[in-house]
Amino acid sequence: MFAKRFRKSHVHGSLLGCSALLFAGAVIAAAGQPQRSDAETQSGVTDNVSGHVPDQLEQAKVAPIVTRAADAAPRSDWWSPGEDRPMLAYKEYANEYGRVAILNKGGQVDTKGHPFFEPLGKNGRACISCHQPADGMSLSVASIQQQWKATGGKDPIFAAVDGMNCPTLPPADPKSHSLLLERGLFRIFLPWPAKAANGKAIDPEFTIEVVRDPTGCNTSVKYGLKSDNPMISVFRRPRVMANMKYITAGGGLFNIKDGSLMLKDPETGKPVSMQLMADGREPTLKTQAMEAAITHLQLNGKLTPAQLQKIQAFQNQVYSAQSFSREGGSLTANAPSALGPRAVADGEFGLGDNFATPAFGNFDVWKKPQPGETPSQRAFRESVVRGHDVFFVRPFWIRDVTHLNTVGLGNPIKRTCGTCHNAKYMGNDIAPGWMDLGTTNMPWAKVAANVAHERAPYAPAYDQATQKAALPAEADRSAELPLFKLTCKASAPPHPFLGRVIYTSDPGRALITGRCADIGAITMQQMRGLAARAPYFSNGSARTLRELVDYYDLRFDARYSEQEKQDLVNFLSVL
Amino acid sequence: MSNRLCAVLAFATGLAIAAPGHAQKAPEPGARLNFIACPLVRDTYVPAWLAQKDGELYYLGPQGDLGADFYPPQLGHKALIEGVVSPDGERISGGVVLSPVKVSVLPELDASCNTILPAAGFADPPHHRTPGPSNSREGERNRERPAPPQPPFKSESFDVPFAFDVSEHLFARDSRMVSAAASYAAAIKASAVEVIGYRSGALLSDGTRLQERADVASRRIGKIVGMLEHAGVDPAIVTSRTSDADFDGVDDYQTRRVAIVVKP
Repeated sequence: MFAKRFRKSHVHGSLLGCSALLFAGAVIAAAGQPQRSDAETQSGVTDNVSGHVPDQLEQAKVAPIVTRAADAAPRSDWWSPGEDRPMLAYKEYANEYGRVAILNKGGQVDTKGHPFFEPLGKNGRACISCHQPADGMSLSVASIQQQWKATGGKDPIFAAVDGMNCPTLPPADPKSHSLLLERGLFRIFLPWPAKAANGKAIDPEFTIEVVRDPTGCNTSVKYGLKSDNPMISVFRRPRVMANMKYITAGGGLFNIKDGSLMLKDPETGKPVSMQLMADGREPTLKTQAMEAAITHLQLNGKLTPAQLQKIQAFQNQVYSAQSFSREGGSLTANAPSALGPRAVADGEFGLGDNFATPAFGNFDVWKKPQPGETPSQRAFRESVVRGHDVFFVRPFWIRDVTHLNTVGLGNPIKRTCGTCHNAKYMGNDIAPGWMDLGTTNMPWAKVAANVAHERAPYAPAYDQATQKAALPAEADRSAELPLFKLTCKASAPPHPFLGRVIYTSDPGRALITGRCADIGAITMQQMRGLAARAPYFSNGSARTLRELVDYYDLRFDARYSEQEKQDLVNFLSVL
Repeated sequence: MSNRLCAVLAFATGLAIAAPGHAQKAPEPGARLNFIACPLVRDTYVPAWLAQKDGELYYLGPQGDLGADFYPPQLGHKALIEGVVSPDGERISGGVVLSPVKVSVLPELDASCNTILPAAGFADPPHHRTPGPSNSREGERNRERPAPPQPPFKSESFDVPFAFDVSEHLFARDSRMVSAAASYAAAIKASAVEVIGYRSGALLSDGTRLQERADVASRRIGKIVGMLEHAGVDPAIVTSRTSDADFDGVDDYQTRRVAIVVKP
């Protein structure tokens, strides 16, 4: 124990029996600084409705509903809401790199009347709309574009509430849906200032100014930050709705990265993983489903307990992984042990940042020629093995990443991809995985959005030395998104690596906690079925796996060789 | 890319710092050394963390993981370094060893703290893991929890350390002290839990007295009380008070803390 050397003591007598608020008041009187009991704001979700959702409901209610019949017959690989067809126990879907498989571990799913598959709200969408089996239970921009062409933009995914850049824009005009059509982004609208789990307003550590508003939604008098129901709009990709036993596992009372409080399951009172959403705002599959129904489906009400139970049961038995590689052949027979959906379904949650239990098992089986293997398959498989080694054992300097370089490991830290992507079978972070990778915070957000330009032999998109953009505005993909200026108050600690003034297109976790340290922190995704669901990162900045690899290379100066990059792409493509 | 340029600049800077003959005064073995400086990291395969004071380079510790005793500082920030000069004058990675040593990352940014020293032929510092994957599956987060307490129960104090001027951020090992206090309170059916938040400071070797911000003690109390409540401690049995702690340059980091006193 530490030595105790007191000089003087001020007894405030702040007995906590009355309420945490009274306690806070006592401290304010004593120290002149506001305090809050975080525990009070981290619980209090009732009926599976989190504290920020009622405000979202109000905005969803005023967003226009445009009901239009589709022009064309549905595509065979597209699942429309309310379709009367069973979801098979196992089915493969083609993609650019081969095939992704969806495995229903509980067997064939009867979707008729199933709340995951039925349109429950006013806009005709169902959960399945944005969690398509062919897209690894997410939604690829390729599918979105195909669906636009197939339906003349009348599919419910293009609903005004969030399938448009802003509901104020003219429907049916592709420009009104450009962020969805070109980057696969849906509008996420959240109350600002943030609301705690119990609905109480959080006093944020920073202020927000809108610097750039290409969608018009953040300055809209109806939907924006200064509307009667103040909301901030950010734009994010749908996350994968499969392999949930891994995503919902883990979680202690306190975040091991900073000591913040973990959310609790409102039904069990137990801490949860907080891995479900980009900003960690919803604790459970049920609360997430409730919010999604109210916002994305425009359900003017609540899902019933029976509906929530059925949605959760479905989510907990569906698995997704690439099952066949166009260049490498089968990923389920004579293949590395962690590949394919069956391996995922049968695997166990755990820490995979070590040689004893590598996140994606070992790839030894592909190190030696296999019977019947073609030369091109051999070459590809050897590349995948090398890519796995680059991912798992090749160190590079990782720098200025909040919630990694701040947790006691030092900044920078020389480590590997597997340091953060450490969850067995999934490759997400088994600790709460929100980090500021730079994909939404300037200056790196501009690099992330313009990786292809950065790789071209001319000036970089953003010059770190001069702090100026070197990219013509019309060519800057980051300009498609809003830009906010966040200023941390003097009483608060600054962002650990960006200081007190931060420019960002999505404050991420900070929109939930109100904390400067969380600005731009986004929960990393699982890595399964990547081949089926481009683009990547929460804001779709990486259009391809190669752009994803290129961003990491630039962000961390990893100095990958061309061979290493291709090997990484090949490795990622078989997950 | 510009960060490559930074690396080049760091290389040049590193050469200057690493060059012998810059030390102005040899440190006394066993002397306490408290100072604020930009941290430096040496680009050996296992990185070594260093800091410079009065032209002398000091070794702080190796890159490790959350199970290590030494938690490294952060480039981009100055650090408060409080250590003891190794009695035998040992040098690692070019620096005089400070051991024990504690590092507080100062919250505000300092862009001048941006130096990665070249390996320059130095060997890896002593370490328990390399930059690659761990050899053990038992990471920090999988550590076993202590056995439940057995009667007779007694009043127990749990100290939660904080970095200088910090009231929000806790390392995992320090959060665990709060968990331990809450578990103990539950196990013994505590009648009272007292939370004492301290504001302290640091006496530097040059005589400078650094005082933590005025509200840091009450902020620390707010943090810890919230954690205890979250861990299931009945708010009705919790009292709190702030206190100013004295500091004299000897292990001052021990005074920047919250004490949780759990009473049967």
